[in-house]
Amino acid sequence: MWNWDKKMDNKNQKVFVILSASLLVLMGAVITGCVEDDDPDVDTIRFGMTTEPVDWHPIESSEHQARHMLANIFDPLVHTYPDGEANTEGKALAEDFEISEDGLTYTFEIKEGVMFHEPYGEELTAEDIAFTLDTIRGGIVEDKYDVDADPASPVAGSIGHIESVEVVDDYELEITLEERDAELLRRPGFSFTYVVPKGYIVENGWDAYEEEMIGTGGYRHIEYRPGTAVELEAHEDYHAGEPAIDEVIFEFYDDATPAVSALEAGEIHYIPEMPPLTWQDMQEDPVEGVELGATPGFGHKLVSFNHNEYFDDEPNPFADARVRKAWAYAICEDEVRSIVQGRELTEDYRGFAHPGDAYYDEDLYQYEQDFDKAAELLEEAGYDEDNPVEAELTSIEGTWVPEAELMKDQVENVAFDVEIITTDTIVADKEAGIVQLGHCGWSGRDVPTENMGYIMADDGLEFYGGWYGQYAEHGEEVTELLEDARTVLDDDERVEMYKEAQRLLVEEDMGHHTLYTRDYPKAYASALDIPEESWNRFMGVGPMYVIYEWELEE
Amino acid sequence: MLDKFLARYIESKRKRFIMKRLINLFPILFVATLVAFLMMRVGRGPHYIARHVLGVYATEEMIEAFLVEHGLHRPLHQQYTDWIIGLFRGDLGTSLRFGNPVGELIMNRIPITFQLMGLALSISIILGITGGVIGALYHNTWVDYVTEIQALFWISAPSFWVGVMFSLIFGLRLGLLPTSGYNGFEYLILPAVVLGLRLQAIIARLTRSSMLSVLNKEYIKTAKTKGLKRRIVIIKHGLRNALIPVLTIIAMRIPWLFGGAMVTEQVFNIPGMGRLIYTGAMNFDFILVQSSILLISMIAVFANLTADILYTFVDPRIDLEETPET
Repeated sequence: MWNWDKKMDNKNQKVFVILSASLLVLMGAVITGCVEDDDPDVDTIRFGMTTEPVDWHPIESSEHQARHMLANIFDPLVHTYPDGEANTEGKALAEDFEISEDGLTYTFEIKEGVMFHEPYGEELTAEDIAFTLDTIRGGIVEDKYDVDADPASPVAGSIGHIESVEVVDDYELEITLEERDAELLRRPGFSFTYVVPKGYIVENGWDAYEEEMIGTGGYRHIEYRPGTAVELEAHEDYHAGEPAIDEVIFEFYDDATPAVSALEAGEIHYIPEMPPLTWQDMQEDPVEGVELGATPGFGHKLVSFNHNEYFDDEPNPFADARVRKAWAYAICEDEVRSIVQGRELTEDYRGFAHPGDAYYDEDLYQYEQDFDKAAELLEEAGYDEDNPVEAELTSIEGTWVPEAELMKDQVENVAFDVEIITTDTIVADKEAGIVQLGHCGWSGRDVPTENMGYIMADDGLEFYGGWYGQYAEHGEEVTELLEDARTVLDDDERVEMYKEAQRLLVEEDMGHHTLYTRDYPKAYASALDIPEESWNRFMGVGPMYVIYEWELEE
Repeated sequence: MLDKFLARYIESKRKRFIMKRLINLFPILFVATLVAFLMMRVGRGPHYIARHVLGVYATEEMIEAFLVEHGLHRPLHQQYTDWIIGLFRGDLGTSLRFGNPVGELIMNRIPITFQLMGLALSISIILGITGGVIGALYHNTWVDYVTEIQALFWISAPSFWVGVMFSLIFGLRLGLLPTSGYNGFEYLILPAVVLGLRLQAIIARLTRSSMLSVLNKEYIKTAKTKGLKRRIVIIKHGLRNALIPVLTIIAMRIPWLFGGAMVTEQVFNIPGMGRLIYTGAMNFDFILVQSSILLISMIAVFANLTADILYTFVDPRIDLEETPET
């Protein structure tokens, strides 16, 4: 028998313990010795991005997540706050602007000494802005400027009333409109305009430009590693002042959990899109060194009604406004919001307006839950418990379904008989006309004419193939009102017209049933000094719009 | 003279064996390409994939253009042939999710995964063999029980759970190492430990049983009675022979390590091949996924081949006409 199999003697035990302990200490020393801190002379902030944009072309991208990065590489011509006020503070490229008395001509004075990033490094002129606006309008630049492509902008239609963009001199630009558009500067085509360098693109083409992403913003694009990170570096010659933070890194996470751990451990500094439940937990049980915030969301949740007279070859009850109103009276919005993940992030959304919008109407009629009224309306429309409204409520697979189930329970207290159908292609299903009630989100946070026009008026016809528009009782009236409002330069008068349009759509027609809007939850390191006022502007992007104004404390 | 003849004979048999194994690779790789190709296509139709990639607002015209651009309008067998021809040309296609060439994406990611695997493998070999030898030498003592229990624990514990726990304990609570991400070698240590611990457990158990078996052999007793030093007996005569099955298992476990790396990369947010494939799969990027899966299959196949060949060198007694039991 092998005698070393015997139990260890005391000496061997001691040796074993000492050796094991030494090995562990050595491994620990090696491991911790490997960890290098960032260069202490360079202020770097890291963002934990839980969604990586598919496209972050400054002209073509329509992704909200891309704006977090693009807003720091590029500057807009003017700022526009949600309440409609346009101004030329800070990063805006215009020094000043004037609107002609007839409202058809906008003259912009451009700031001098605004430099593009290297390797281009030239001064920005009115030519660059004209080139950018022409590119956004679409179908112009390829021939006019002899470039290799004409990128398609998702906001092209939003500035469609522009007749011409003329360069007066290097620092003056004139925009002429085909017809008055009181909302021009609020349109996404303007408020998220990313001015690109004409000279570089004409010389090198769009493909080469996409590699460099040259702008005038507070940060210069250094590197994009797909699926991993985007690195930006401070633009020393930035016209709004040299950024206090030297380096900005956007790191991509497929899952929010490691990003939250990294934030708590101080490895990253900011998460622009927190999971709502985690955000809520952290609010109830604060984490040392981590602050929470929220910025207004873009869209809202709703139940949209198919207004067609026939659905699935049968008469459609929801073509009758009384049935739509009965549905609204049967729902308790507060109860629906109570089961939403991150309840505290939900906000009231009335008609087509966010509480921060100028045309938000506090007095807009609210459909409080009232089963008697609902039953009365259904009876008027010819439905009762023996002959209920048979409805298909299409919801989106996943976390939306509990909300749909709750609504089903609520409306079935009166003469509704609801079947829930789930899909992950609700827009396509709606377009195909196979949805009767769509439990969906509306991402538009556009100017009122677009926001309401798309949903309810004639434009809706084109977009949804007969879902809305003419089938709403006041569709034509609303369309007329919105078209007129667009040309009214007086702010108060215009706002009143929008309010009237909402009254018709909500109170008279109950075109669709708005539920709530949700803010974007964010978390950040306490060491970050973020200007307070930046939380309430630049919808969704919020403080990330102005990283150049941030500071990182020791 | 007889020695030389025998050596030549064994060498020629080894060559034949290797050739045979190489020829066997072709049908295996063919099946691998077929599985990788069909995997992403059988679940959802091309129309669905196009809509998913282009977004809910894509028009029918955009979808048609997408299908034509990526050859998805063609019959499956033609799509497969196009892909294979592309592979021979070194063109793996363009990722639908990232818009970059798949070859470029893989080349950027695979070094990180290899680093992670290499580090995990080193940790597992060092800890596993050491633990196994100690367990065998101190058989049926508390040391043996400790090594055995720890091995059982790491084999049983799910790696994603271990990953999250390690990240919370060593990253968040103790602050010794980064919790996640990849900004240098130090970011790989924690994931490599998580990945390596399971393999070390397997190696430790195998080393222990193999060592126990060897230590009871007659030649070990002879060596001991000859008066050789304990160290020489254990290392030269004992461990060297005990390591033969261990080495094979290590080679066989490399593809498994690759699979483990995929989970670990996800938990620790490491931008390696695992996360690349995960992102591709979640976004219906079949072009990216099929090429990545094929690459992993090839690594698995070549690792097996290496294990077989290694086996013939480490243990000359193996019958080269038969496939060794691995």
